[in-house]
Amino acid sequence: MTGRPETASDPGLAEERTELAWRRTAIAFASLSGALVKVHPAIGIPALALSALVTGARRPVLTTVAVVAVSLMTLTAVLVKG
Amino acid sequence: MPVLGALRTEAPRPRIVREHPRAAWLAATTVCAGTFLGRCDAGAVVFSLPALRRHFDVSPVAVQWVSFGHLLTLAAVAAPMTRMVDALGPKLTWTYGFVVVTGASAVCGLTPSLTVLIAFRVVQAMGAAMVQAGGLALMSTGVVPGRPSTGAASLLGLVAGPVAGGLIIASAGWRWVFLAGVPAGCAGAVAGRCLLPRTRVSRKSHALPRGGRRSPGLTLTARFAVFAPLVLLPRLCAADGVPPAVAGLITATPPAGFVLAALLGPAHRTRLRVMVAAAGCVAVIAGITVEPAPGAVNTILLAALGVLLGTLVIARDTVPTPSVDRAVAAGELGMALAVVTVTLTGSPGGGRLALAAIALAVLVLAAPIAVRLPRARRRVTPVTAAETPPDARFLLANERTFLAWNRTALALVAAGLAVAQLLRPFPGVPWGRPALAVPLILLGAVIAVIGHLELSRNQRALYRSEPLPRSVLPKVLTFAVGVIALVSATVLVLSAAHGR
Repeated sequence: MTGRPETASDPGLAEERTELAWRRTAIAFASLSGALVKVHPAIGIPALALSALVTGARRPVLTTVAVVAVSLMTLTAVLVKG
Repeated sequence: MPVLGALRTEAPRPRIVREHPRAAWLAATTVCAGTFLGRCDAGAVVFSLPALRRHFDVSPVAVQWVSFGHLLTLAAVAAPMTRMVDALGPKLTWTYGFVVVTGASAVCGLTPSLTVLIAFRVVQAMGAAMVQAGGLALMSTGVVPGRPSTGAASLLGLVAGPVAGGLIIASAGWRWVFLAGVPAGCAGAVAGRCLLPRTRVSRKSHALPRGGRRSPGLTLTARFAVFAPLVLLPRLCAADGVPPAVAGLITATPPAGFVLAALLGPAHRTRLRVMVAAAGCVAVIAGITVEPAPGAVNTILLAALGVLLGTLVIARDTVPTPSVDRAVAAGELGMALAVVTVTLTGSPGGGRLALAAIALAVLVLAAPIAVRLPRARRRVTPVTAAETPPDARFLLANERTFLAWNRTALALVAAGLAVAQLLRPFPGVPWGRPALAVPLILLGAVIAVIGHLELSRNQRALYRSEPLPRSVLPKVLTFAVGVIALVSATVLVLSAAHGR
């Protein structure tokens, strides 16, 4: 359900807007991971690795898994650090 | 008997209200507020029991009668009250119910002894039953629209009750838990008089539907499973020395989970999901049983328990229900049973027996629901004969919406991290920063998951040329931000009070 159909209609600038939305999301993910590295390096470095996954794969399922994973990592860091 | 006649005559609403374009909405809101106050009272009073026990120096069993007597009376008079509705009409029943609640609340708040308190809690229950029966009649006859809103009001009342109870006990003492019913009751009576429509003209139609074929057992079990944690948690918190305001927030965690489950409602009505929810409930209860003392981990587990229990309770809606008055009576009886069970089993082993009883109720509830629900549908393939490829621009817009929700989720997680790391500790409230940070981070995870579910759902609708389903994410976000704002206000107030 992730593929886009090839249709006769011209998508106009929709492709570019979506491309930019993916980039913004990847930047937001990387920024959060960077902050997490600062708080707890042992948890933050795997999160930074996940941001590479979000940037490169551009698959909705993988992005969702990565966001949930980084949420749980952040939660762990907050509870461990107090 | 002109006085009696006047008392039995429904006064019309003021003209400005009657002719207002939103008159129906005002009436529906009034009925919802009555439901909200009823549930709020139940949660707050359960919360005052440890304080009552200390004040009157009585046994835990004796003090539970304050709550038990109230709920048992509600269960017992639910059916007779429908006959009162037939005789007086919903508006008068509703309004007089609040008059009774107001008087009884005043006596309860000023009571010199536990016996008087229990007696007037029974009187208060009769007033509450009148309000409940009048509200149900108004909703069921369609005079007041918006029946689903009473469910939401009931759930919000369950969330607000413990929080309000904890704050009132921490700041003003247990008497004000009851005295707060006086202004609320006056407001209810005035609102009933001025905002509810006259309904005596079509009196026969007020009779609630009767003669259902199903046993009310499911309603009873569901209400037991929902209410028992709300009775158990204040006891565990009091035994562990947790301050009342914090205990109120902890106790409000499971009902907040119910609200979340209610917002996600229809998506959960498949057999597999009900079975997964029941298994999850049992697993979470097992996790809490390992160490029942309140803490950060158990608060998270309680929120999860609330969502899972809510999933089950909402799935129960798909099962045919008994008549309305029987359902109401069964529900109140379930709550009364929860009070008794927790009283009898709550102390030994830190509430482990009570938790086991909740797990048993969950299994008893889940089995008949799962049998009656359909199996989960198979996933649809991208394009079948019945599906046509949609315009690519719509799919791209759907993808961008998904990404926007993901960025919202990331922003919430970042906010949670910032609260935990950058804010200075709140004086006198050591749990303040985690209480704000943890919900923000969990909300981020929840939004990411729901965002993906909605992406798939919308894509399916686009391929089938169906109307796009409505998104629940704005509601989830609004509700969660509201709860977090409430927690923030509580933390700030407690911190300021400590500083003075």
